[in-house]
Amino acid sequence: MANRHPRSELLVEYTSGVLSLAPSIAVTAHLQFCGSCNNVVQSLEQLGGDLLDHSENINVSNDLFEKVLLGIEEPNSEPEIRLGNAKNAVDEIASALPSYVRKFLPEGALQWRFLSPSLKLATISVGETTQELALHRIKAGGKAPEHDHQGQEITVVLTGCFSDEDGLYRAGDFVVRNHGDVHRPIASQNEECICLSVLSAPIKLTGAKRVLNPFLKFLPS
Amino acid sequence: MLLNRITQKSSFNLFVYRPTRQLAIEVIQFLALAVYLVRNQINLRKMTYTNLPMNDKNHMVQVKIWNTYLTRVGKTQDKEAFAALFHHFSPLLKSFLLKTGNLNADSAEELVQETMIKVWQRAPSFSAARASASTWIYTIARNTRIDSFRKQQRQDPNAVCADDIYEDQTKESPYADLLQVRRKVDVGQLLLELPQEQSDVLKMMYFRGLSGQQVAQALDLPLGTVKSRIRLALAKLKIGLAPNYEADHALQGKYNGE
Repeated sequence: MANRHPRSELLVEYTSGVLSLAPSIAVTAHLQFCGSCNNVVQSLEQLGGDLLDHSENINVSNDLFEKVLLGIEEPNSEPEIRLGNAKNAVDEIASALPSYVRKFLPEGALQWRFLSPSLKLATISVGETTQELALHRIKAGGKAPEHDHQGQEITVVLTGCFSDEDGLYRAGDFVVRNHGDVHRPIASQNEECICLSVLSAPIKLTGAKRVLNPFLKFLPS
Repeated sequence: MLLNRITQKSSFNLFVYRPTRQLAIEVIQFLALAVYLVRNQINLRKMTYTNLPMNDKNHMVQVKIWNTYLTRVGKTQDKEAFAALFHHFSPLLKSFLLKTGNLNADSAEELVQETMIKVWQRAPSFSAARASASTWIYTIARNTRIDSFRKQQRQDPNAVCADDIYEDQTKESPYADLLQVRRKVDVGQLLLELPQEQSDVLKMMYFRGLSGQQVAQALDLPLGTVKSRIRLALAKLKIGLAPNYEADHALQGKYNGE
């Protein structure tokens, strides 16, 4: 059971459909672990239904029903393109991930980039232009380089756990970091930690590794 | 006195014959529904559609009616039930979608059309135990709207679609069972009692598709004020949070600069 949750305003943005793709995927990942947020989202969807119920009636064109009937009589006229769950068996890490993350992954192997000996990152393209969705892997017992945040970063722990100056984060935890937060995540000793993250601006390394900063290109995908 | 004795006696009897009590409750519920239908001139068999006034009293009955119709569409491809659903929901969907920023009447109708076609196609997956018909239809309309906006912005055609994001939480989630617990509070009733400044913020997000930040800009308010209005509204709507939820949020507030 997750201990860190998205704020309720974020859940309202998620449920009302105004949250962009990458953070929405992060919320969906958290919901796999969290019954209480699931309940909130369910209530917020009910709120959407109630708002719909309380909308005024605006007459539709007379022929709209006929158009709909034509539409349902040829159900396969425009097949929906949906993401499959079975693909992406190429990458060892990818194939071990749960399906709600796996289906967003690209075909073929993930392109892991080494940020430090214990930290690897692979970006995922979801057709988002302003935010970057990525998977992070921190080796068991590994320390990620100390870094500062230029923009907001959302991290959802998928497997394993990591800790930093502020506490311990377990599977399902939804952690938001903002501009100016400096931290140094450390994975637990016994297993690798895999996180899904959403970045709205590049991370900046602080401390001795800052010389690497020019190489940490922000790659909106 | 006599009445008191009768109720005492009958409650005793009902206690002993539990199935009888259950049956009695169902009969009474059925009669209440029948009286309601007759008084409001709704003929279920002929599916004569009457535009029902929305108030607290008949809201729950309506919910039941639409759930029944939608279930019927899913199970038996009942076109008459679908027609009733269409006539009830499409004018609501149209006004719902028309409030979305730059949609004109024609494109709003296109989205209504697309939504209602999906309602027909996906009706077999509707479960009244999990969500009401209007909630279910709301989520389809929301996803249709999201996808049409993305198409307009000419983003990657292979991009993720809204159904990919939202669908899992009811299907694969380990909490799928939990979702079947129906909410005890009728949000709709509380919605009417909400202070206008709070309901306005929610409506701007749900109807117009504005983010908290955009609402703050539109109302010329600090983002913090908009956020606190949302939180106050959710508290009034009794949208439940886990016991340690607020504490965790306070912790996260630290990172959100509050």
